[in-house]
Amino acid sequence: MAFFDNLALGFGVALTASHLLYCLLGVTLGSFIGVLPGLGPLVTISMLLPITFNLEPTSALIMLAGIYYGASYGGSTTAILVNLPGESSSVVTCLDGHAMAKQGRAGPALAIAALSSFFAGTVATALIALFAPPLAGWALSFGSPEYFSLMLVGLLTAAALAHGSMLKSMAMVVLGLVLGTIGTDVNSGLYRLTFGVPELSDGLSFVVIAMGMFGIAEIVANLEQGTAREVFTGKVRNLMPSRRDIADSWRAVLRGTGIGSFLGILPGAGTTISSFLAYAMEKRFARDPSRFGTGAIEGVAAPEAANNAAAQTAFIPTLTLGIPGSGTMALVLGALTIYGIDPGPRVMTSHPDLFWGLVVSMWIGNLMLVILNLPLIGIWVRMLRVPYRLLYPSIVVLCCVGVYTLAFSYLDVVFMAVSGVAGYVLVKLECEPAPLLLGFVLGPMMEENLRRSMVLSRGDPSIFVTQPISLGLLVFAAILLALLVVPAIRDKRAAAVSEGEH
Amino acid sequence: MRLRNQKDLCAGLLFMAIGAVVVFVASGYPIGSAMRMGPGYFPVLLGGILVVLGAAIGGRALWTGDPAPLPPVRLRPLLLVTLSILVFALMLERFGLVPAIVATVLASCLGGHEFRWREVAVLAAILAAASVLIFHLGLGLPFTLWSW
Amino acid sequence: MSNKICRAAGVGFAFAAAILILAAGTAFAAYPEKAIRLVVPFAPGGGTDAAARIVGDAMTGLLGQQIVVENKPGAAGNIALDTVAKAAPDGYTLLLGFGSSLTVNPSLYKVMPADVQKDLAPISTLSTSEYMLVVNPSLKVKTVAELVAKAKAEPGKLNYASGGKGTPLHLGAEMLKKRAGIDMVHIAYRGGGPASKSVMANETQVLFASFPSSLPKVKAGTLTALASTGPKRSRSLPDLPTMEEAGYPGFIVTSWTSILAPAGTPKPVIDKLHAAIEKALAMESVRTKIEAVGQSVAGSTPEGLATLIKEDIARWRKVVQDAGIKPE
Repeated sequence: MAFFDNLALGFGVALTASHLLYCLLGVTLGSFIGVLPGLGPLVTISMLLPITFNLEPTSALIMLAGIYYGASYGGSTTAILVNLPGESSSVVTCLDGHAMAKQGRAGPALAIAALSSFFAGTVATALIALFAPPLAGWALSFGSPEYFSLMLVGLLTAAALAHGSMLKSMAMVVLGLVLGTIGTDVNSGLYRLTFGVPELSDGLSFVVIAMGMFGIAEIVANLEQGTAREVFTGKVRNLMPSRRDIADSWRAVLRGTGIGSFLGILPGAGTTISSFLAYAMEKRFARDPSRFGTGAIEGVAAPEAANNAAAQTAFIPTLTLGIPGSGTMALVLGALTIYGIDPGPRVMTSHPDLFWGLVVSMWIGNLMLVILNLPLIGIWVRMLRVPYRLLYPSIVVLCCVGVYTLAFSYLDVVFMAVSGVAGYVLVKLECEPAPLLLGFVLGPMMEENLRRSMVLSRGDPSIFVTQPISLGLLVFAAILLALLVVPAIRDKRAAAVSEGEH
Repeated sequence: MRLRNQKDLCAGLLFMAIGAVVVFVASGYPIGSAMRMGPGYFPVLLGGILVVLGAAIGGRALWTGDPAPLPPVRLRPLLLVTLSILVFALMLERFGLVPAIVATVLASCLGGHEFRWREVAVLAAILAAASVLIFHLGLGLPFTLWSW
Repeated sequence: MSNKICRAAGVGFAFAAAILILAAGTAFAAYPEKAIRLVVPFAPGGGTDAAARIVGDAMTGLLGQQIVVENKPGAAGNIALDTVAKAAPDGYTLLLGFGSSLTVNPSLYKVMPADVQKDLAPISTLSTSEYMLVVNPSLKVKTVAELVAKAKAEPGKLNYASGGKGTPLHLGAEMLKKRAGIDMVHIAYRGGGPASKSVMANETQVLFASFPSSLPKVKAGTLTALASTGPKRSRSLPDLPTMEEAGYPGFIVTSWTSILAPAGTPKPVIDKLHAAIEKALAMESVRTKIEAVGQSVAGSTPEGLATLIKEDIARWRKVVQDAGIKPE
């Protein structure tokens, strides 16, 4: 079978000593840089890209892929340990991952993140190897109306992210949408809601808001509580997930992998949305949704699987269509052309050694990530034993430096401080920031695709229901809405009956 | 007694205020129509929805609502942590990375419960050194280390 | 108390100073005696950033000082322009000038942070690149004339994509509309990547696309190239006519990268930088890397760059006015 020949070719390329070494080097560098807040895969790759210029193309790409996974995973480490989403896809990991860390379960949280990432990576790599060209064709069938309908589905799941009142989380989603409109309007070039600040012309940075609302607000809340109380419980029970943890999370990993693989193929939809959706779906279909946000291991497993699966399948449109789905993929694409490789439909036939070598080293990179990070867990967890009065100023400094490096703009640091205050106030008012962040991510894409669809259809709104994929998504959105509204009404009745219980 | 749910009332008022500002600012942009939306259409719509949602949240707090008084706020950590970040933002480009980090550590430590000079000094030195090592030397990022 | 503060501060500074001394070395020669910032108006990734890093690397070797690339994206390049125009004119802050940022923005924005022609001292161009007019293959047109005929037969039916208002992709298509007297609907996307995807998916049909991103798609037949926009035929597609050959004389859309300093930078410093750039551009390794990212190496004198900026500003102003685009 051609597939196995190809795979054999790939292993032949990837399993040479030097390629394994580059892969390991990439994963290691990526992990350690990715741990620093603000330095996600995009920044890490762009900084390390010049190093790879001197390597031959296959080695360079293998190393870049290693950096990519390493940096993505490093972001999750920071999210779990100190509630700092160093990059957009790890915001969701904060919700339950950090709650677990506070209960002394940072070890299992980190381990399950690594293991579910590895599983998702394996599945997604297999998808690339088997079905890359047909899947790429499918990415093309997603036009503006389809994206709009998909964003609508995403928004409806957003309300499920919080566990407080529905109205409040809806208001938070809308607030996120509003923040997302800040910046240059793509259609008219007009600056909206920038209040005369030119630095806002490209909008607020997601990482800045997320770090402020999660990381900084969390520090303030911790300092406020009690006197010399330590934030992390002293005794760390175990480093590895228990049998029960595995039993609780494997289904979530499967679902997360599915969602992530699917969304990763669509250019632009990306890892952030897939991890949000995976989490929201888990919560939606959980027997006991109230556990989420308080350290449910599924709440770490599902988004981590989704995020890593999407990170892999994002290579499909990049390699086979030459269309980068994210900034990181644009860099990879740029690197490919620097090495004289034309990404596009012919890359599989014109450079089979490179394509299959890359596919196999993606998998090896994932494997190395697990091998490297499982032993590191012990070290990370030990870091939490540093007294909080020393830990939190360090986090503040790392956040400031990291955020500054995003665009070398001191205003980003100011915005982080403002987001921190806003996050603090909102949490005091029992408004959770997670739905706001999802609204912020989805908003611009939603508006853009809505307006674009209307121009494409010359003002005819039926475009959303005449396209089959879009129609299907809208039906799904309607079902979600029904699922959302019905229990809320039922709960209200139940609450009315048991008035005065709280 | 009547205003038992102060949290929701405040949240509602906050959302309404933000929504109103957004509607006010964005109505200055070309609105267009539903068929051919201008840059103002979406923000005005969102601002309006925010006002409505805010009114609903606040209104519900007035009528029913479980007792939820405003939680106590201790200003010291909030102010000093925020200040420490702002200090970094304002000092970095004028004085360089090292002074900015030292000042940030100082301010943020003042927001905590105990403050020991010796410890804070060592911490500031370690963080400054580590940041220079990691970000400047290791990653080669363009930071001015200090200037005055 | 204050004694303790002093001691505390002293410890911190001594520690950092030790590292600083190790890092800085002991270079006390004439300019450059410290690292030089090269401010890039875009986020990492993409051709302009690549050009900056490639040339910056080579110049580091030639000048004996690190050229540090600093990405300051925002406001279509105006934020980077602002940073450099306001920096001290000592040769330690340079701007990687991108053609359309420097020359289109003055006609597109009501308020510019600086006067491109007065507040900057040109040093040299680095590279140029051109665009190509591509269409979806299902349109079944092979030449610009056929496209124009098709658009005239079905006025207002074709969509053209762009990477946003005021990008060369947008202005190129507006130029074609004006010159050929046809009507196509503008659909804006966030960047060239999504725009090119929309043409492949037949959501839009026409696009002025950047060369490196479209070349593989044209070779694979997922996009049809009609013309290139340079003054001469492209070496990578020698059979493709230029827009001028296709019957539109003067229809040239190129973008270029360049290095500029703040106005008032001393002449010896400019000369030294110019010499280093000239040497860097002559290097074989620089040339191949620049070509790999779809640009061609093109140096110039400081005066040549000043003229280029002046001409391009005038040319784009006319396009923007003809297309009826109002400054924001």
